[in-house]
Amino acid sequence: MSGTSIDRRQLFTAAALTGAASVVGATALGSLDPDEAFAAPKWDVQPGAPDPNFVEGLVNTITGTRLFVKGSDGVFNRIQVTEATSIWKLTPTTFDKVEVGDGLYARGVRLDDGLLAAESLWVNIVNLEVHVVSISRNQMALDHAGSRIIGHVIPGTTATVYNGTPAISDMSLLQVGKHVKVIGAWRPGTNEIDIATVYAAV
Amino acid sequence: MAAVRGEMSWFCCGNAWGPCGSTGHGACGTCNSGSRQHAWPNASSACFSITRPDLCGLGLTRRGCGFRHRTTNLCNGLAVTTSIADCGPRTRSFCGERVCCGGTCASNRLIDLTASAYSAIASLSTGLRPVSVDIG
Amino acid sequence: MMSWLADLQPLVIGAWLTWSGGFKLFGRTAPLAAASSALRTMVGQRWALPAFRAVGFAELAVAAAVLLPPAWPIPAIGLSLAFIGYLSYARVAAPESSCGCTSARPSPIGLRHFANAGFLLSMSVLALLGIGSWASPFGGGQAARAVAVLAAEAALIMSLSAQFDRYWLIPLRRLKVRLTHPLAAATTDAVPLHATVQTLERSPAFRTVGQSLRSDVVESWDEGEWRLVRYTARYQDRPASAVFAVPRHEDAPDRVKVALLDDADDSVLLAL
Repeated sequence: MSGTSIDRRQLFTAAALTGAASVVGATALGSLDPDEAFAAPKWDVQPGAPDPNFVEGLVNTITGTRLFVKGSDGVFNRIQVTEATSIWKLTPTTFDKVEVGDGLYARGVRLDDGLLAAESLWVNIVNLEVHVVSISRNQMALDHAGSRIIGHVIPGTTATVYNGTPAISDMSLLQVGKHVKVIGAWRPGTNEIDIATVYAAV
Repeated sequence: MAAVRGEMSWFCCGNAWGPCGSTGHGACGTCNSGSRQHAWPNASSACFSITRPDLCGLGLTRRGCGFRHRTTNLCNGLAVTTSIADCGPRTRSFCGERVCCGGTCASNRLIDLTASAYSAIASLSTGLRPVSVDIG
Repeated sequence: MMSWLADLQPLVIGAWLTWSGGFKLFGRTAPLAAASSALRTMVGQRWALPAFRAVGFAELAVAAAVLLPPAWPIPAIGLSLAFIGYLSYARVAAPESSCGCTSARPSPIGLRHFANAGFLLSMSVLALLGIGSWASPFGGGQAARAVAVLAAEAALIMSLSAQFDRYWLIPLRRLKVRLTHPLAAATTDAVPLHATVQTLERSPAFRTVGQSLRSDVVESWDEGEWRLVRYTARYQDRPASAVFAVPRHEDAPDRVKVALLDDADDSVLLAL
């Protein structure tokens, strides 16, 4: 849970950069063609119903690699984190960065004993439709459904997508008074977020 | 209804943690981030007045609370069926915005899924994906 | 002096209420304003517009009471107090709602609305001290002074009304941004990870293995001109890792490579 070793990264790098002219062992993977999925609509969970393989809530306690999370419905969920779990907290990160009091969404596989084996963890992630009220040094005052949120710009991390084009770090085209969508990481206990991505129309 | 192509994003609802603490349970009163639900830009006349998808050239049928749509992620073919629980997205504010995947592109914000529904077919950190929406 | 000022107030109050009431009764976007307001929570969606129109009618009636003889400011006091009550209710019961008072533009209930309502109340109370008609302050060579006071009060009302921000406050804020470049530090030479992920997701390589991915980005690292991005994957019910190599400095989805490795023994299952 503390990250991949340098040796393993070198192995991954070599494997990815070597490449091959053809797909090796592709048939063993089963169908890779996404078009085939269109033919079979999936309905594993009743529309409108709670998703059993998804958890949302606040981290209550952390024991080893297990999280105890209290949902907005008051129900506690146990989440098991493994080496295979991706963890997002503004950027891809490691388990030691998760703290009590963090909010999270988790997707994984619900086991028979009710434990969720997490495949992905998104810590404090928010995706807010906001109105830009003002812009000051490395900071934006945002209005979200009548509430004021302070968005912090993190140089080296915060990126902007204009009209769906590739993300860039240049934020100079953002304008006061416009509506934007912001993906960010909430700072627990506050009305502030660190901004990961801003989606804006120009 | 013929399948409509556009962009999907996700949102939070249900008085959950953080900035979602004051969002309430959506226009239908039943929305929760952990449920297989979505927001539709033409869920009512009041909703339509706010989202105005027609200003972006989108002609969307009015569908009320509980109506089911199937959303297919054009990047990987994964699909999820959800029911309407809120009004959104604010299509008019992002007219002409485009997102692409493997050569397949779609324009304009068409549908917002709850976090649980979106994460079933895409990663929450992506924020925006091209999709095809059909009756569920 | 006080009575001179007091005599002017009915003109401001009457003009303000006429404009506000007129919008609610005849404005093209009045239905949108009603739908976005707290009236939807208060009386239900079906009665929001009729209630909105009724408020507009009341405002025009009070404007008439204040302007036409015998000018009577008491109804304006009552209306101001009711307005403050409505704002308080909206702030608590429907914080995401817009005021909808004089415009359909989104205007979440805030300090400025309360300040405006308070100003209307103050003007109405001051009007009680008036001894002449609203035209009397313009006599005796005082016309210019009267116009100046009216302009100042109108400017205050407009500065407290969010719907006029686009004419002065937003241009001022945009000018400040243009002059000070407050987000300049955000521009760096580093390519954002999100840009890499966007390129990756547009690649043929991603389209080929997309269905086998099980997680979001686990980690990424840079190696020369490449950025490596790793996901968890699933191969015949066995855990695997999908590692993408994405050109770091160019937007070239066709150059993206991928390798799928079995987590058990690191054997390469697929390489594109």
